[in-house]
Amino acid sequence: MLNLFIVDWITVVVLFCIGLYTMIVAKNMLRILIGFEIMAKGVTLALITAGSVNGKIAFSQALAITVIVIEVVFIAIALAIVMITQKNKRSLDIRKLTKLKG
Amino acid sequence: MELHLSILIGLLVVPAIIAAFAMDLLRAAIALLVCSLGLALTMFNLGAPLAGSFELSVGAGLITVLFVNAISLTRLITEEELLERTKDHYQRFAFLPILVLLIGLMMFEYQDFWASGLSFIKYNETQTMGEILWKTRGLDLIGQIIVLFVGVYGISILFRRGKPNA
Repeated sequence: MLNLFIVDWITVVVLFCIGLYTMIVAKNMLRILIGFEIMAKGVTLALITAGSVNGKIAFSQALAITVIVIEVVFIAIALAIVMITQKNKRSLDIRKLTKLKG
Repeated sequence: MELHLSILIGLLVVPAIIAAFAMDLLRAAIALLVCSLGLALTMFNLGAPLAGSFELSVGAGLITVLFVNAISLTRLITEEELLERTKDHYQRFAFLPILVLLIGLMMFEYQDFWASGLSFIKYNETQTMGEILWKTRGLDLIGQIIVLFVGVYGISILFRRGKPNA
């Protein structure tokens, strides 16, 4: 079980780092959201792995479902903002969003 | 163990790398779909079928539809923009292995702490997932409902038809 746990945790680290790094270096807004999605998948896997190792899989499933719901709402709102930005600025480049109101 | 490992590597890590590295956004969205599939299979494998099916329908289905929809509404890039983007696309990921190594070392330094994840939570272990969600974590459900309403309200505000702001 410990081996399985280590393998799962290495995957969690790799997924989290790929997502975080993509969010840092990407300039395209859609790519930043893809990075966030990859990171969120790492977090969900971490929750399920922790529950599986400690025999609390039912609890971790409940937490994972909450995470997935929040992730979907975030992505829906963020994609709506991306679409509106694309319509107004004709670009998805995050560097061009420097002259916002407020 | 072999099956679990091959799902993790073949359907989770490799698609995640493709999604991060792909030049084409549509290819990245499809790689993300495969990544969700891999996560759902891993969940089934770890004994979490409900979360797995939820991930499969919402993560692989809904989110991919949203991404493909958003990508289809973006404009095509010009040749000059394409050249500019391909120039340093892969060089930007040069420091990724260092980040993986640093966070990996940090995680393994506190291995016992991570291994004890969720062990501090006290609840009746005979409860099913539904009972936990409705009875023990009832506040989470209220939070989810509020977040869903905020999401719907936000999208309706963003796509409101009317006089554009001056």
